[in-house]
Amino acid sequence: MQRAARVFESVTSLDRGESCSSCWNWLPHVHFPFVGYCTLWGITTFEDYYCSSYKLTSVDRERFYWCATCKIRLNREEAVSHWIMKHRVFRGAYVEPDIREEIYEG
Amino acid sequence: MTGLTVDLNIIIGGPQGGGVESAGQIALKVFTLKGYNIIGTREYHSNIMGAHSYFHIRVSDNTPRALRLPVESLVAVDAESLLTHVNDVAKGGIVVYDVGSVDQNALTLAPMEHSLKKRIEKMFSERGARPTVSEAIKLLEERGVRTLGLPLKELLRKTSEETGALLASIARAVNIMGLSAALHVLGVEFPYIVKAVEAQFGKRPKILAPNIAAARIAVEYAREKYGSGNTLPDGPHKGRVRMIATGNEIVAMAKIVGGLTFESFYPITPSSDEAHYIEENKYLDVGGDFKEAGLDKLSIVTLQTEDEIAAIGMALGAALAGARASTTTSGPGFSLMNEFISMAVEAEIPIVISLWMRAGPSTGIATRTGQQDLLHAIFSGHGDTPKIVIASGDHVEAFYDTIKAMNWAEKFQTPVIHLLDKYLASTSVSLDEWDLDPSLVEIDRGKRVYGPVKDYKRYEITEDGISPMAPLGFNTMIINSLEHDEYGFVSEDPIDREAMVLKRVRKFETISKSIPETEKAVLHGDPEARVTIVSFGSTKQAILSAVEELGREGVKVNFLQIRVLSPFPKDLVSKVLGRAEKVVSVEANATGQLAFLVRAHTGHSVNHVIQKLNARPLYDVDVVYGVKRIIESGVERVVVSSGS
Repeated sequence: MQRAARVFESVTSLDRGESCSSCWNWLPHVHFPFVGYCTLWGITTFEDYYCSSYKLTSVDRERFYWCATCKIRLNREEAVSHWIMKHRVFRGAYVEPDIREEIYEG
Repeated sequence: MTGLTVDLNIIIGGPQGGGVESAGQIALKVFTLKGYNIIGTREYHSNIMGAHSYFHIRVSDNTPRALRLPVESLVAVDAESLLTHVNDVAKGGIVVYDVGSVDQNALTLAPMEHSLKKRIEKMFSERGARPTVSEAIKLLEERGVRTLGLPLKELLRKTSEETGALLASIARAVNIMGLSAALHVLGVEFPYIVKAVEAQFGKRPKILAPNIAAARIAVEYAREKYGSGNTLPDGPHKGRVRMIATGNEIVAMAKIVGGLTFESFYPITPSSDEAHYIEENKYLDVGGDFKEAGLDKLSIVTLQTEDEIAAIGMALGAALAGARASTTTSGPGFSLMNEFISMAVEAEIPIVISLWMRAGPSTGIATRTGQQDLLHAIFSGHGDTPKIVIASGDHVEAFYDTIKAMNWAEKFQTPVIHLLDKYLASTSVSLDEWDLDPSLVEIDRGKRVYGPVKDYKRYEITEDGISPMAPLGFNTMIINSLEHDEYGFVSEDPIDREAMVLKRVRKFETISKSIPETEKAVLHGDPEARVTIVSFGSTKQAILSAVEELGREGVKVNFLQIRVLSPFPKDLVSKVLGRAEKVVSVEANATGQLAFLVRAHTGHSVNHVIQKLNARPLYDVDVVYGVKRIIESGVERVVVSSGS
C-alpha cells in the first residue's frame, strides 16, 4: 500500500479522466469493479487512481476481454460490440486467489 | 421484535463468491454468541460465481422452526440484491445498501435473470418509475422501511488506508461492512461483531485486522449518521458453548459416531459437503482393546471415485468385506446407482445411500431444493427391489435417522435410502451437545458371524428372511448379482428361484413389522382437527410453524409426518386420514408423489395439494396461505411461490 501511495494519486484531486478505470494495465475486481489490480505495478488500486504509465484500453488486439458491465468474458469481436455500446471493457478481470472460500463445494 | 420476544429475519445478499458466505457465517456466530437460537440458509446460484446469492437468517429467543418472510433487515451490498429483495422487507425493517449503486438500473444488471428484470421493470413502471436502486429506496421508504445508505467504496478506502491492507484482497469486506452497520442498527454491541469476525478469520491474521477495521468503520458511520438504538438484550443461551451445523455436517457427524467405516462418493451438489466433513474429521481417538493393540487412532475410509456407479460399487464391496458402508449423492447421481441398488437387493448387501434431493429433472436447478425424488427412491432398481426409504424432517431427526439407517441396512441386509434435500444440506442451526446424543441409538449390526462356520450358507432360508452374514474371507461363499441357492451358487432352478424371491419378500415383511408404525409416521397436533396436512422431509418445521399460526387464527389443523416411506405405515396413515374431513398434501414436487403413495397404500385419496415448485424453501406463510385457500375455495391444488 505504501508503494501504491507513492506511485498513485487520486484522480479526483487531479480532475483527470485518465484513471485506472480506463487503463490497459488494470484488471477490475470480478465482483466489485471499483477496485482492481494493476498488472504493471503489481498492486491493487481504486478505479479513480492515476499514474504516469497510464495507457488507454483498446480492443484492437486478437485476445479475450472482460466486460465489467455484463460480467462476462468476450472474444475480440464481442469486445468490439460491447465497446461500441459503451460498456466497460477490460483486458481481463481480477479474481482473488482465495475466492474459493466463498464458492460452495456443494 | 414484539414485546419481550426477539424474532428477527435477516437477508444478506451479494454476488455469488463475493463474500456473502463469510458475512452469513459471521451473522450466525454473532447471534449465537448473543445467546439466541438461529437458523440460516444459503441460497446460491449454480453459475459458481457472480450471480445473486443470499443468506437468510432467523434469530429468536425461542427455537425458530423455519425461515420467515418478510424480513426485518436486508443487507444489500449490490444493486441486484436490493432490487431482487425489494418486496421481502417488512414495514419497520431496515435496509442497508451501497450509495454507489443508486443509479443502477435492473435492466442493465449483468447477472440478473432476464425474467426477474422484466418483473422488476413492470413493478416500477406501474408506479411510473424506472427500475433503479434509487426508486427502490423510495418505494421501501414509502412502505415504512428505514434505509441506511453506506458509501462502501469510501469506507473501503478508509479501511485500506488505516490498515495498509491490499484493496482487492479486502474488497469482500463490503459484506462485513453492510452486515455490521445493520447489526448496529438492530442493537448488537460491537464486541460481539469482533468476536464473530475473529471466530471466522481467526487463523488468518492478515485478513482478520482489515475485516475488524471494516466492521468498526461501518459501525462508526452508521452511528454518526443514524445514531444508536436500544441494545438488543442477551438471549437465553448467553454464555453457553453451542454448536452451529448444517444438515450436511450433522449427517456426517452421525455417520462418524454411528460407526461408519467406509464412504465413497462422486462430488455433486448438495451432497459433497457431507463427504468432505467426514474426510476432514475421519481420524478418531480410540481406547480399550485398540489402544492395547497399539492403535491410537482409527479412520474412516472416504473415497472420491470416478463416478457414482463406482461410488456405490465400492461401497457395496466394502460392505461385503465387513465395513459399515455408505455413499452420498443427489438425483442425477442416484440415477446412475440404480443397477447397483438392484444388485444390493439381490445379493442382500447393506448400504446406506444419503440422497440429498435437489430441483430436477436432470441437472435442473442444481443448487436449489426440491422433493422430486421420492418415487425415484422407492422404485429405484429393477426386478422387485423393495428397500427402506426414510425421510428426515429436520437436523435433529437427520442425526438419529442416519444412525438408524446404518443399523437397518445391516440388520436387514438391504439398501436404505435416506432422503434429505438441499434445504437441509445448506441450512445451519444452533444446537446443544445434548441435542445430538449418539448413545440414544445403539449400534446394531444384525446377524453377523465372524470366523469360520461349518456348512456356512450366506443365503440360508430363514423364517424372518434374514440370513447370517459373514464378511468375506472367513468362509467359502459366492456373491454376485445372479439368482442363487443358499450358498450363493448361481442357480436357475425353479425351486431355488421361488425360495429366494419369497425369502426376500419375507425379509421385507420382517422389516415392516420390526419398525413400529409410530416410528414410521408421527401425528403432530390435535388428533381431532378437521384438516390434516400430510407431508415428508424438510417441510416439517415450516408446516409445524404454520399449524401453530393457523391455530392462533382459530383454524384447527394437524400434521401427519411420514418418516418412513418404505415400508409404508399404511395402518397408521389410514387411521389418521379416516378421521380427517380434508386431507392436504404438502410437497415440493409437481406430480403429488406422496399423495400417490398414500392412495396406493391406503386407498385414501388426497384431494388437496399445496405444491412448492419454485425450488426455494417452503415458508410457513406458504402453508398458511395454501390451507386457507383450500378451506375457503375447496381448490384442489395451490402452488405457493414465495422466495427470491
